Amino acid sequence: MSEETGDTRSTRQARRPNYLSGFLVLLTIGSLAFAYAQWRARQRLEVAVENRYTQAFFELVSNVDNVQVALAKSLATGSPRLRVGALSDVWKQAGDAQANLNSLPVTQELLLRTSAFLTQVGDFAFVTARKTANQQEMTEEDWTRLATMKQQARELSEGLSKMLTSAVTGDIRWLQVARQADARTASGKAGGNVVTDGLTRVDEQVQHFPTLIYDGPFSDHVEDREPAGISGPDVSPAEAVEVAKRFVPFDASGYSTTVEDEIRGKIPAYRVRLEAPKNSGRPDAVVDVSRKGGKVVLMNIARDIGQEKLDLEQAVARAREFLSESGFGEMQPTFASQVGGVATIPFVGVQQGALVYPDMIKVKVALDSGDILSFDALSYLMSHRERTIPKAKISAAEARELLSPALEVQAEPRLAVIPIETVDTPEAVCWEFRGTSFGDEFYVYINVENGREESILQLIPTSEGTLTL
Amino acid sequence: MDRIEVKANMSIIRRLRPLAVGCALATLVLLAAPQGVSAQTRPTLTWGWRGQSVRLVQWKLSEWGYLKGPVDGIYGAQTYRAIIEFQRRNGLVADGKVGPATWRALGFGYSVPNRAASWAPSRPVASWTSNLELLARVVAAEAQGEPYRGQVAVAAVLLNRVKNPRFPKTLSGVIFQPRALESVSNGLVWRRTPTATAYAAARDALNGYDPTYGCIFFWNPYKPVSSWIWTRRIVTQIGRHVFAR
Repeated sequence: MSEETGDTRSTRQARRPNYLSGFLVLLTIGSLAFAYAQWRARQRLEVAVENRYTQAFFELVSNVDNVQVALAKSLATGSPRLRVGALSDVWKQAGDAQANLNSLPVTQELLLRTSAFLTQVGDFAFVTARKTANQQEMTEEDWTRLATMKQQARELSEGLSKMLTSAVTGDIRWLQVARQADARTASGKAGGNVVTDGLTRVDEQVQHFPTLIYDGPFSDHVEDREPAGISGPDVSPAEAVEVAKRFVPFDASGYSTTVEDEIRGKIPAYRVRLEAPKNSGRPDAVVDVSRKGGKVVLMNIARDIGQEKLDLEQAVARAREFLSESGFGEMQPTFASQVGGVATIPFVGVQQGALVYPDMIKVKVALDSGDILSFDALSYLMSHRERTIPKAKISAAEARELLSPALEVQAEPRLAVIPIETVDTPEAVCWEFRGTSFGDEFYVYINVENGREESILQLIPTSEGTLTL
Repeated sequence: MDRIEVKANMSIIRRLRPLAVGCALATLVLLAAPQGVSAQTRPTLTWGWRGQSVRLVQWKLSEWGYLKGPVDGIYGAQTYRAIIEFQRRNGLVADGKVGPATWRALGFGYSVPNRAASWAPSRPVASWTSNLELLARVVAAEAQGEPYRGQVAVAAVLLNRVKNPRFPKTLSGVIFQPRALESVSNGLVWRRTPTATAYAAARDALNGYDPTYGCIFFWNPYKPVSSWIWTRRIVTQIGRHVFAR
């Protein structure tokens, strides 16, 4: 017995460390295997991400090359038909190039100018293609611009091809570039590598391009436009406070007022905060008053919304009343949408019976009490002026004949001023037709001067009321 | 009337066009026979004819580039040349007379039956919903705890970038641009569920409300940022964010 016990014990003693070390060995092997699996997974992911960036870079290079080739062709061809094709290709390739450029993992400031250049080349090609398709002749200026752009695209392409040499040999490690960019942002220090140096060079090169670069319909000049709807002398912050107090749709006596900030945007303005007396249960308001002319640009009233009591029509009536009390002439609501107990109603201006879409004011109404919650006159103040609506050369009945045979007109045509995407004339006077085509609703705009169809908009019903897109 | 929305919309229309044409042809085959085509009779126009009918033809021809001269309602030499050219290119008898066949080829005098009831309206609202969803997520991740106006402002900056030539042309391009937004780089944007306020702010921004007056940058001045960014023109500060152009 005892021998047996001793035997068993010694066996047990011999086995116990075996269990332990066996367990440890297993654990080690297990964690090594786990680590290896993780390492492999990470490796695979890194390669996948690296490949994605490399693909974007290679595509960028070929896009820029194609831009240059297509620009060259558009200059060389005598056929408008081929020129339209080449210019459309420029448009597409420049757009793709811009998208690929912006998906590289480098800090944004390296790309801004190159990105803008590509957009402008694309815009100019698009507008010129349309011009050619409309059988309009290219001006001498257009030719020069195209030629200059071709030259600039070539320089850009050369700058990129210097980086390409490193890319094909695998010297560019995009993940490393991304990590360096992180480090640089954190430390605020500039450090270089093949990519950032290359792209910086390219971007600086673009900066030195002569300013002939076309400023397209979607480009800076829209941003830098002067507000047309503002005139008069500058007002002081104190005057701005008075304007704000008079404007808010409630009695602002007892409110404390502060000029929080001077906004240096498209319309320089004072930001006036109106604070309700403590425990009065009344809402605070923020009102932006333009420095020039003392006009209210934006107003926002913050409060919680209770049970809905009004419908959209009542809300529209309330908004209309507010606008006329605030001294805006005839304004017409275009559509209304409703979500979360709040109605949003854009109004457009009316001049000589025509709807002026660029003169837009958006009003938000609380559907619990009918109170005005916000007011946004930014577009109105940017574009409002006395326009002369020319006498229509084309009658409504004639314009109707020019519509698509697949459009069924649903309402009486109205005169409308709409924004269009051309450089010299940003607006066009049109007949506005509402109609349906195969179940979808549309607004179609026919120019009253030349019968051209300037724009087509589709009305899209959503759960948030009706939305014009 | 936002230009970008219009553009997106046009591309939807463009995408749907082959389908629509297919459907139109199918309907024509099915319905043209019983319905009949030309309800209206139009005069046959010849040299010297004047009036509204001539103007209609002239507008069409000049939009297509056949007619070089003015639209004056008089069938003269230029109109004649344009009509002959049009007829020749469209496989019609090039006699210069605008008869039923030419009227039709010009797109007048018939309509494609498309009674609304028989067609389910297409609902391309996915892009609106996805934009709202993406914007609300970014607002929640970048501007939680900011005043409402500050939340709208962050969303507005992203939408201003879409319109700006220096940035990608789509909202997803702007949001997922590498290194553009911290919350996208570190994944916070997917971990935080947007509040109702974030949705409201995103919706306001999509409706065109822009308290930044056209800014394309924003940052928190109390956090380390690239020194370059301070060279931008600062427009305003809302809450803890500075907004610049």
